[in-house]
Amino acid sequence: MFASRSRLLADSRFRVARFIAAALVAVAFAISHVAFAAQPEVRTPPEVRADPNQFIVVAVANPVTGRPAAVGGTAHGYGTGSNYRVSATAATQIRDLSKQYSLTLVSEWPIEQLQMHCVLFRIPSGTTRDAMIEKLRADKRVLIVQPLNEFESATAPKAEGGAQRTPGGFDDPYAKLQANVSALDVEEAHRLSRGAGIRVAIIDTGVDISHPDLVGRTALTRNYIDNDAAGFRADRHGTQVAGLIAAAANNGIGIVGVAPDVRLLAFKACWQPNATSSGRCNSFTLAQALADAIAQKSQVINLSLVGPSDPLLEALVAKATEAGIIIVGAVSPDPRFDFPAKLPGVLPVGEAETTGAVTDQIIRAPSRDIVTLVPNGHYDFASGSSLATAQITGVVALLLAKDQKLGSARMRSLLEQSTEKHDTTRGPFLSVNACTALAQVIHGALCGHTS
Amino acid sequence: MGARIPDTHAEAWSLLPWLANGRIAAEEREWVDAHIQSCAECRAELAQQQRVATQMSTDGAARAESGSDEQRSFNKLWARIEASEAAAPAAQIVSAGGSRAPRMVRWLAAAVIVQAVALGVLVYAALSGGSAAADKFITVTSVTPRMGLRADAPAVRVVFAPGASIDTINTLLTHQGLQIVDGPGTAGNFTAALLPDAVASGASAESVASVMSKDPNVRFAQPVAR
Repeated sequence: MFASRSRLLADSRFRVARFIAAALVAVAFAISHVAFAAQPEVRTPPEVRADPNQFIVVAVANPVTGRPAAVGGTAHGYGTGSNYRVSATAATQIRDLSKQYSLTLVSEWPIEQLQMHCVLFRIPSGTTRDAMIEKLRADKRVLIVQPLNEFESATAPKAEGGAQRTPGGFDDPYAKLQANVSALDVEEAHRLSRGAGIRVAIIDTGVDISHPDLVGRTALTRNYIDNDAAGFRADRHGTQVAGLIAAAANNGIGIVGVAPDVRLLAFKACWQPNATSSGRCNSFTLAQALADAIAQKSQVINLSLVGPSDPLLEALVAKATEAGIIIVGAVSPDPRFDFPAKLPGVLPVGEAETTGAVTDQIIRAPSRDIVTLVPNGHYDFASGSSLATAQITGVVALLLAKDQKLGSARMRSLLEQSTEKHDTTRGPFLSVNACTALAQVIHGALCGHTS
Repeated sequence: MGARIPDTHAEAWSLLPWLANGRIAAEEREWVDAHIQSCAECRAELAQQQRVATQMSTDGAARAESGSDEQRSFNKLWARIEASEAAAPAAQIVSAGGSRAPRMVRWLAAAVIVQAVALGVLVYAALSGGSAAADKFITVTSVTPRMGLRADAPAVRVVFAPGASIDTINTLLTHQGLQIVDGPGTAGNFTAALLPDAVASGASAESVASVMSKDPNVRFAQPVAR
């Protein structure tokens, strides 16, 4: 038996046949994977979330013209019909880097927008992260090397006390509690625009896309964290943000969104360690989401999260801005956190109720005790610059629906010019006025208080 | 045996806050500690929770130190006097013996002012039966939650209608077995927790919120996620 098999193997013709068969199997495997790649997102391994300090992000050049390489398994293109793949050169460079520096490849993904191939490496034990980054920075093959930074959804301590303005008009029962909607003059603005068809990307935790006040508004969902669809809908922060932007108006339930006719693209790049905690995200999940948001032709990207400077994410934000996408980002009270609000082209949004200097060129919207959606069809009050950011994203969508060519610079000046001071029993605050901003781009439109 | 692992994780996870604040039962502590040895995610979360617990206990200590409202006002006033003293050092350069007497006088003056303010508040509270006093009552209640109310007790977020009287609100809360634990927020939003008796008799945040939503004196009632 063994003797005869070894004789057959020795037969070179049989060898060729075996090779062809193996090749056919490999090709069939590859085709089936391409054809059934329903979820092109690269998930985040749990150990990456638990201990980010053990990982680094490395990017090498991956020109679009490069010949597709037959790499095994882990690399995914973006699922938008794009044929962007890992070039043979990039694949070789990654393999060589891994060997030379004893790095373990955890995950990899090509970023077409940057013409780079990105890899998440685990650093070898006994090496510090900073020392490894230092070594790789000196390596000519490496375009970007950075820590796996962590980001957090932007929140604020709960405020107390006070009174509110009461708007009328909408038949949504909680509209009377939406002093923010009144401050932004949303009711008047809706006579001019409701954000029809504007593609709004929310890069956040998951979103309760089946909430009765949101149902049917989501054009696309992506999940870079896990495969848990129920968990996606149970996430709180993204639901709060999505509700403020796009909750249905005059549907007889809940609240009024700032831009109720937009299409939402929900990218889950942050996870919630428990039901009520803020979201956490990292360079790996956010880079995928940003690249995907660009590929999916988003017109506005909402970033209600803050974190440190991050070369990879900064490169992607620059790409998005270049592509004419308006990025709306939360301002962090922590001066160490530059991302995203301090990046060029990003609209920085802060809390209207701040007592600090008002000469800091920040766009403001109400952020204290704002009623919005929470999962399972419920509603709750919440506070924080995350929520101010979401409302400005809504206003941006209202404006884009009237003029899609408004760039971020013009958008910023429209919002700044519309900002008005409100005097309340709790002191003055500053807020954008959506109607006044719209009236600047619609010939002959007026914002009287005629409703 | 193997099937119990995810349960252990979920249970251990839910006990992390109690481990963090040191109030976990001894028999639970043993196996939670054991689980944590093999769970990096748990260790990270525990570290986070411990930071929060430390923060909260120092906040609490600061509050206890400052004591009653009157004491707080007095502290504030005293701080202001001290600050003005520091701001005008030139005027304060007098003999070592001379600086003690004015200090004493300021002390006494401040004490008299505080007493006057406290008396004013008492007289105002006694004379006015209106809604201002009603708001005050609820705010004061929120500072001293009834004993036996756990931090994770089921709760509802509620906004009362503008015309609702304090009697109406009291009746509503008592009927539902609720106790105001936080508020009002800037939108008049309160948090009310279910008392242990109400929970024992089968009430949940959802059921209470649903009943309250239908009351004309309630503008907003929703269960709070815990």
